[in-house]
Amino acid sequence: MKFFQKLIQRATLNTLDEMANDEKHRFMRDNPLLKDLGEEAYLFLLKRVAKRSYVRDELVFKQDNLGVCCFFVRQGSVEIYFESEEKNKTVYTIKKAGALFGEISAIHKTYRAASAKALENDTELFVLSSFDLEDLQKQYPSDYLKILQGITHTILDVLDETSRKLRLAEKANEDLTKRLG
Amino acid sequence: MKSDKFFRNLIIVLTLALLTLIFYQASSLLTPLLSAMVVAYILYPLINFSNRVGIPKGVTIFAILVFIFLTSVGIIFSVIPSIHDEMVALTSQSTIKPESHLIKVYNSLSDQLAGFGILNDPTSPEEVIEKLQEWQEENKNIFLNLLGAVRQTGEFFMVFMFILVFLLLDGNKLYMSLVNLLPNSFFEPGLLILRKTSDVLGYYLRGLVIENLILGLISFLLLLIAMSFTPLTVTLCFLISLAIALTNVIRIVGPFIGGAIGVFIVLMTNPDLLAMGSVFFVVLIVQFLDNVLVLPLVMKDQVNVHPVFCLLSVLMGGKIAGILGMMLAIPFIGAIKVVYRILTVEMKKFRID
Repeated sequence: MKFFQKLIQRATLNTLDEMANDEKHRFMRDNPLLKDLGEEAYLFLLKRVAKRSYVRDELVFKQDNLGVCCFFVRQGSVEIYFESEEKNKTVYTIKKAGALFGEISAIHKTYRAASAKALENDTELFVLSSFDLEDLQKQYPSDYLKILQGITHTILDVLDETSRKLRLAEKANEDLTKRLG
Repeated sequence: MKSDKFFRNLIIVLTLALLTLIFYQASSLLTPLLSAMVVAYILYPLINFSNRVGIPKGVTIFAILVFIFLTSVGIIFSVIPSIHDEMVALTSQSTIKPESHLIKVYNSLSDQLAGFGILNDPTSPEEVIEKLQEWQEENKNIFLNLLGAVRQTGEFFMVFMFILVFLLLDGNKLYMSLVNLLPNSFFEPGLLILRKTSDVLGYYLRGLVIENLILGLISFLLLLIAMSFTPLTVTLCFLISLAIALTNVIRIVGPFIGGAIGVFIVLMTNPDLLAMGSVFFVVLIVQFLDNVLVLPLVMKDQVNVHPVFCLLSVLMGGKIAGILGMMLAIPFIGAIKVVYRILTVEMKKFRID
């Protein structure tokens, strides 16, 4: 078995060497979410990453639709926004090249809490689905844990940022009340 | 913008029409393609498992191909000569004589039935010979057709192996090409449908293999028990249980075909009413165990289809694509159910605008 394992390892490294100039490989290897993965698990996921192109104002996903993917912005920018029933739009954030979004759906298929649309022409996204991660969990459980940790950190960062914004809003609200009062 | 949409839809419709035309023209390729897809679906977990324990994909695929090749060669060298001998014997006009095997079978059965008081005035062997010879005269071309069938099987096998190797090596690339075809506006629902239907198909086919292995084993054990009071032999028991297991891939209709083949095997080798009754009884027991125990355990409720729809879909599948159609009818209905569920429940709030 050790002989075969070495064979697989060598084949994986050879494939990655051959892919040295591949744009998907160069982009994904540097991504914080995937950079700690073992070579085999990384190649396993890389083969499953799909590339999508969007034009300006094209929807990536719509709020309330079932989400099964997370997206990495390769090029361009994506607006994440919420639309109320009265059609009032609140922009949460703008994701630029290198950013990850829609990550909750990648670990737990759930209805989207916000919509996402491309802000530029030629916006390119790399997509990883929850099914790919389920396959990774079966094949490389320890590497799946690393991805899970990475996604958890991203979610925590978003929560921290949201809390910070909320505190600032509260403080501004208090100041305004004092000034008016 | 509107004209863009019109042209895009027109291109999609034309592509679909072209694909339908190509499939219609090359329909003979559809059976090996579907068969290879079925086998590939069954084998994927094996390849993944061996990869997980450290055996490269290429080595596993090579081992699978060697196994398929050796099994086929084994079948060709063991079955073809006996079929050839039978053909030579049958084609010569002097085959059907009073001492021929068919007449012996006929005499033995009429004696046994007369013993039970069921058939007291059977047709004479001479009349049977006459009828069989008439049949032979009418069906002379059947042997030429058989040769044609052997050639077709060879062609089928070559195409099947080629597609199977391609699917096993590049199954993921093929899946990714399908994913890339999905439009942006329908990407996530499309991915969900693609994956869930693929899962249903894979789950059903792999479950079917496990189920039939279990049923084959149960039939073999029961027939071995029947051996103690009937003239059945171990080889016969093995052949009959193999027939039962193989034909069970077709839901509802399959077990009856399996039973009929089993009874026919006994009839042609050792025509004993008790042995035939035992085979029939074993088929009934196996079917009962399958429905009550094996099927719920192996398949769970993955492809939960009402028996009436089951029967209808199997018959329609048979009409459209023969045995393969009968075999794939249930997972196909299961896949439609999954798509319906996704579109009506999981994607209930789905909006594209």
